[in-house]
Amino acid sequence: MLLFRSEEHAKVWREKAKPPASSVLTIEQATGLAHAWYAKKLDPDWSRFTNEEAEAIFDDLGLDPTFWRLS
Amino acid sequence: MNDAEADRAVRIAIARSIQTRGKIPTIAAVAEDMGLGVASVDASFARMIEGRVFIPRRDSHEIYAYDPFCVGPTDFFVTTANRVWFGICAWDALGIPAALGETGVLETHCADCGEELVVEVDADGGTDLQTWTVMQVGVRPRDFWRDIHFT
Repeated sequence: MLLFRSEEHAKVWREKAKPPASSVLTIEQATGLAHAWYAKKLDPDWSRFTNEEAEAIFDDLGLDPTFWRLS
Repeated sequence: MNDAEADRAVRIAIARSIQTRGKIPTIAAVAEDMGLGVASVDASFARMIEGRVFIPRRDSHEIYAYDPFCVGPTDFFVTTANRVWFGICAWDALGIPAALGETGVLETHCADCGEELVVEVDADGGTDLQTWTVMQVGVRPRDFWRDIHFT
């Protein structure tokens, strides 16, 4: 997961690097995802998200389900 | 203590080391902190690798990334009140302030042109104005663990 100055820079990189798939998040979506994913990581009762929990996070952030679906 | 209880205790020791020492501990360090034998902690680490709790170093049970924290160095470093941390990728680096409950500043570079990018993130996941900055994810989430070191 890489950061780019803009969508245009991400597009130029994709044309060169040809990643196996692609989803571009705004910085607000990215920070929201990172917060939802890791806010409890150091808590004693942390556990991995189930697929359903993870997909709910992706959906709440408005991420493309065709890319972000886990099952 | 069964395996699940032992793994929880080891996980708590790892988290405590990150929070208090600012570093990801080795198997030997966790064993010393907990007053346990290295073999039993090593076995716990192996179970947690199987359970995808953390990313190991190649050919080892030692931690490479206890996400969002990485032993580093990487091109994604985050400065909080009194420490510098490394993330394995942008997603993780942006999650370090959240995991610590602190504001942090991520410094990295545009993967296309190399220009420095700086993003301030507060403990609640809010960010300063970075209208044009985007994060590119190049592997579908369902494939992340197929080759986690590539991901």
